[in-house]
Amino acid sequence: MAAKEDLKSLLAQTRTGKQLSEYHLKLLKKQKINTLHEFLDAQNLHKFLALSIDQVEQIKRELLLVSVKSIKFSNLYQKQPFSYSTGIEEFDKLLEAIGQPFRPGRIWELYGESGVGKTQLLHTLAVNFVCKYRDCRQVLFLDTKRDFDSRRIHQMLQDRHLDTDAIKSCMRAINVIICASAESLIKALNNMIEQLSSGDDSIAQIKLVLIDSLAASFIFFRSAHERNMGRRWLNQLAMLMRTLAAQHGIAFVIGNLSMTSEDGAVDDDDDNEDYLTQCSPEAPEDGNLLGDYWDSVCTLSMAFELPDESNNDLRLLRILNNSFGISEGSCLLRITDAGVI
Amino acid sequence: MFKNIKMLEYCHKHCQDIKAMETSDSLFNLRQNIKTDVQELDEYLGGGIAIGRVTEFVGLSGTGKTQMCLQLSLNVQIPKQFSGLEGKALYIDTRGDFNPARLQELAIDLEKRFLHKALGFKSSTMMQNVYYQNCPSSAELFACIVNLNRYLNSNPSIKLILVDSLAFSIRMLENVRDRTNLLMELHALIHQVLCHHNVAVVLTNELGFYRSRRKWKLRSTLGEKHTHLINERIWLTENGNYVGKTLKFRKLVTSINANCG
Repeated sequence: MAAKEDLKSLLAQTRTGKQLSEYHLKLLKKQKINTLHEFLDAQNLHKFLALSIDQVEQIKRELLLVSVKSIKFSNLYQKQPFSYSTGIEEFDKLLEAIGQPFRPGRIWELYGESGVGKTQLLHTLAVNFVCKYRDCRQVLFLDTKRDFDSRRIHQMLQDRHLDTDAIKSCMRAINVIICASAESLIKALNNMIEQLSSGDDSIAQIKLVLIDSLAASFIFFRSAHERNMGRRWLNQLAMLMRTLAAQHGIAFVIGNLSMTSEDGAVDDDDDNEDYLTQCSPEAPEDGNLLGDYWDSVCTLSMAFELPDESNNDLRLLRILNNSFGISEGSCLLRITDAGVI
Repeated sequence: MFKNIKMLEYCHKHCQDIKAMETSDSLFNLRQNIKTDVQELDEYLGGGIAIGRVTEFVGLSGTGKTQMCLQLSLNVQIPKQFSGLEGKALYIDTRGDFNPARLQELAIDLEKRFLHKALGFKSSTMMQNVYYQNCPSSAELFACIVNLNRYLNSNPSIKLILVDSLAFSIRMLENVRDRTNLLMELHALIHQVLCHHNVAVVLTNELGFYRSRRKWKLRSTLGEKHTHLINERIWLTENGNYVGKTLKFRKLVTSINANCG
């Protein structure tokens, strides 16, 4: 009965649908058309409602407009969008050049081999962000493999010659949640949405979410059954991130693992116990551990790599994919104790 | 043998609960470390092996991995007034390599260092505080790690878990796929243990030669996924100690090997 009421109330909201009489509604019920979906799908509506085809089509069109929430473009469009600074000069220049500055609502991804310094770069971004905007904005670090190092943060802040109070307030602005599995990651983001929409102010200041590393929580899904589960959760996660990004203007930077597959073909000795022997579709051909779908989630993906084996501190940040502009370009960064510069 | 899906699902079930949000400031004040007694290494690591993380020692045989493990199992017991943890250690041995006599020697050395300063910090009590578990096969290692949660519940003073050597027992399996499966499940279990208990996990790993592009290269064993899942890797070599995940990225920390002769 509730569904019927639903259709009735929806019809009442439309201009043409309002004119349907009680008799028409009874006829609909008789034809077992109780939901919006059934109404839209029903054939020959005009015949038994004794209305013209045009009229029925008009009602359908209006019903669709009512049922699908639409947002006016002008609400989304900001005339002068606010851009954050990453605090890394070269990086900012590169972003400027490719036309994707660091803005609220962006979802970025960082690829790299293990040990290349992804975590270091994410730590640096967190520190730079709170140093600049600590009065009104905070950072959330979602840690899936316990790589968050408060001491490193402390050291970076100390290298900036801040006084003790400033360091303390910066460190208070970096929040950490340890998520041991994909599910808990989803739960954490879900909680965030709930808290934000219920008007809880405690986390309203969080404007940047760093996830390190996404691959680590999905690496465990190995059997066929679990891989499907993993994909489902990955989709859910993508949806949650998009929601947070669109509705609350939260920017995401995600650390992801890439594997060296370039010399995999000749890697035929007996100790080849890692990914190459696996038949999983997530096995990296292009270095992406999370499958093709994931490629489409992020608005910008970057690779972090070592350009020159003789110089251990230099790193190359290369744009892999950019959904808002040119997807070419790179910049050189240096890894130091004070973070990435 | 290890295609046991149920086990992993069990892990997921227990990892669902998320921890509350903490600020890095409070984490900074809570951090605890176990000294390695290699000064530069301790400085780099911010006071030693960090509680709540997975640290791996890697090196060719004879470079002092086992020695380091033995030393750590004693250093975790340093009394609180000397900024130690006053905890206990669980030594999981896969190679049957554990040498109690060597441990005793090290314990007596440590006792001498704290002579007249810490009463009751005796080598005999130190020996009692190192629990030993022999796991000669990978199945036993797996069983041991599965039971770790329960074991730690009944022995909450254990602060350090050593697995010497992880590579040895994993590489006992013939099938490569089984190896990776087992390794991933072990990692999932270790993660779960770290979630519920305040312990440090130390693993040891071996180096092996790999052929890539017709050249032989030295690399740590167990593959890239494993590399990604550990938090810190420390390389023990004859020239010194390095820190870093791979050979390419490693960084020299100590130039002379201070700990191991």
